[in-house]
Amino acid sequence: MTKTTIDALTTMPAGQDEAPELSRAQENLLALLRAQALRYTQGESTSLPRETMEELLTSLCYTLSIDPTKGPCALFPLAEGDPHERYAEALAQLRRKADCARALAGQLCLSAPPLDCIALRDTLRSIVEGLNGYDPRFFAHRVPGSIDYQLLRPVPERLQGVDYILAYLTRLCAELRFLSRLPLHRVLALLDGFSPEWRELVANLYAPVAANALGLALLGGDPRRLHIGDAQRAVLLNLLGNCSVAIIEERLFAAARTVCRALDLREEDDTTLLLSLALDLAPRVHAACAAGDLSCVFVSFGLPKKRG
Amino acid sequence: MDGFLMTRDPGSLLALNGETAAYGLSLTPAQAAELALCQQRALTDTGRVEFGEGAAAQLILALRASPYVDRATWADTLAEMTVLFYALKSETHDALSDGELIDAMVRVFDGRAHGAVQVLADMTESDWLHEVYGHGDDGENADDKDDD
Repeated sequence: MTKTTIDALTTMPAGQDEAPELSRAQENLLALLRAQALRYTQGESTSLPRETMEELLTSLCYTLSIDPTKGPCALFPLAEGDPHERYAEALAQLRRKADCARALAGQLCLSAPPLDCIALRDTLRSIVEGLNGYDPRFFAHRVPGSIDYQLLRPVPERLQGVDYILAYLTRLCAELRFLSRLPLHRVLALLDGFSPEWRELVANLYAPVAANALGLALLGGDPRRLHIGDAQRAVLLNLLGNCSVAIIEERLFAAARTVCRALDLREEDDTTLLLSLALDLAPRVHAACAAGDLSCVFVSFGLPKKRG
Repeated sequence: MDGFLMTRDPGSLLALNGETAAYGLSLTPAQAAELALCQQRALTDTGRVEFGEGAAAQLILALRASPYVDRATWADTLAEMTVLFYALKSETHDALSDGELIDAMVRVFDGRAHGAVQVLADMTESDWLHEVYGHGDDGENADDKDDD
């Protein structure tokens, strides 16, 4: 939170010097911040570094769902009722969200396909550890865990704390659910074709696999097979070569629905994710067709990297 | 945020004259206002935010019985010690509680400093940590160890 934002929250906007509700809301925020600071120092200090106070205020705002970028008017909900009661309720809600996130992370650890991707493994481990140490009392806005594995659809940066992690895990769940519906050996072979270093790369694994599933659906084939060789790419080039981006997009959307049916992916998240990939792929496919080479979009199986 | 939480009312410092009168010490309204301002400047300079009554008020109560303060030096000593207090809080990275630091400051001020604030200002972070924790080991905690 910037100095400007803090000042914006605690300074009366012009013309509202006499607004009693706003004044009451600001007083309530200050009372909560004082109480938080006292809890943080366990009553042993009555001053703190400015940065720490800023973090406590950021945490407080996040817990109370106050958007500080909206200025003092964002504080209006604090004008009514007991602010301490309101804070206790909001804190309990955060704790419930953290419980949900822990359950989801645990479920993912157990059900994720054994891909041996370092970024994915480290991210899940870090989230589990982060959630175990998550303290919503003082630094609720901090994201519990560090994220290495890149999602196809990144979580919006405006999300904070456990909300960020819940959104991340929900999206990751959809990606891994898709991958787990496919034969593991084929997924691994395709990823080897994508890059021999894929296990060490900080790259999204859903995109190359789902792209081939879409390609096979366009060909009327079984998306579970995943393999697209030169012959299939030639047919795809013939099929899409003269199409506009809009037409390619339309065909990929239809293919996405076919893939969801074939893999029995019924959740809205699954369809939305595949449709968003189709949207990304359309201009790439169009450009690749113009260049006469689809191998950068629909990759062939590769051989595993020799270890040791 | 500076001064956002803290009571800057010099009246609260003036009210403490009642607690120091028995020691022949008091602040004039102008001195109280200057001390409040001094505290505010110290907070700004050290990048700290006060959310309680402030160090000046705590120091008034802690220093009133010192043999090295009198009516003439009272306001200046309080101002210097207030500035030093916030500087030490930051220099020691908040490792010491307000009570621990004030007790140690008064102990040194009344002891080897013989009332010279400069002696306190020349002490390093580790000197203060030793003053607080080392002092305990030599005294009360040493007894605990003997018990073990």
